[in-house]
Amino acid sequence: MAAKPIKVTISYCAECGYEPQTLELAGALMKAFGYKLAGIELIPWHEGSFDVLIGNELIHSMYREGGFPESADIIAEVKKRLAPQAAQVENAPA
Amino acid sequence: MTVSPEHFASGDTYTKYRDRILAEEGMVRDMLIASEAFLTSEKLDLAAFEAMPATVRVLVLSEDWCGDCTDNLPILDRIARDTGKIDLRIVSRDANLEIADAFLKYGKFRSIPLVLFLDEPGEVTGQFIERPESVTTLRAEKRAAIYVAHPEFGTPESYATLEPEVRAALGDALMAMRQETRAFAIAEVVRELGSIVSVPAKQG
Repeated sequence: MAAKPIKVTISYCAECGYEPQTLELAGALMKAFGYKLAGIELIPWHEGSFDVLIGNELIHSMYREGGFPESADIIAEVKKRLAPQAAQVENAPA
Repeated sequence: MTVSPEHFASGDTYTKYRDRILAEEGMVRDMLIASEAFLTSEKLDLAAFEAMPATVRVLVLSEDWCGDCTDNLPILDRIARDTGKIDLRIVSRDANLEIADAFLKYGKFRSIPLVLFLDEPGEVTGQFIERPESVTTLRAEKRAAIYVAHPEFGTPESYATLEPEVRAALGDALMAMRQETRAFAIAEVVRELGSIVSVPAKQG
């Protein structure tokens, strides 16, 4: 049974100078998960945003939580969502 | 908070800031050009500045990526050129965090531009941070109206999940709204800056 692909989306205010934080988080995700992620999408956006989605689930919002997320927190959230799939794969009948 | 004359003088003039921004192709350059072009045809109410008894030093904390800075620094430059009552210098916020942290927006954000009016000894006598609240409020109202008029845009939180074509249309609508509110924003910036330099009427 194939694991459901997980995509992480990082959208950032393109006129606010948030590129370093965007690239730092994207790099941390690449390093932590490699090909286990279906994709990392970067969306240049407007109006002070810095939002992180796993699939369609908004995990961090600059407006909601304030500030930037810690890469470790986002990695932990991705792991939580990958782990059940890994367990399903391990328990699947041969 | 006091800014020494030497520190003030070490800042960039608007011309130097402008030359640096225009030297590099990209979005910030385009934004500055658009701001200056729009401002050219705007009539500004500069009475408060013209009434000032002397030229005042104004220090702005900025960063070269900042959109609110490309919006507002040309306004300050225009006031300076048209009235001769502002001596403008621009420094990096990130190189001046001690100053930035003394003037946090809402007590917690290092928002820029941070515009500081200085008296003769360099003491800060007034400040302007980022943009007027009236502009933020108007844009929030207009933003909400966009979502009402276009259900296909979803909610302000859902933009990242929209199909790319729909998201691009939403982005265009937001940019158009910003352009529509530009004249109001300029007038409000001038009004708020003018209120800082206005001399209170003498009593009795």
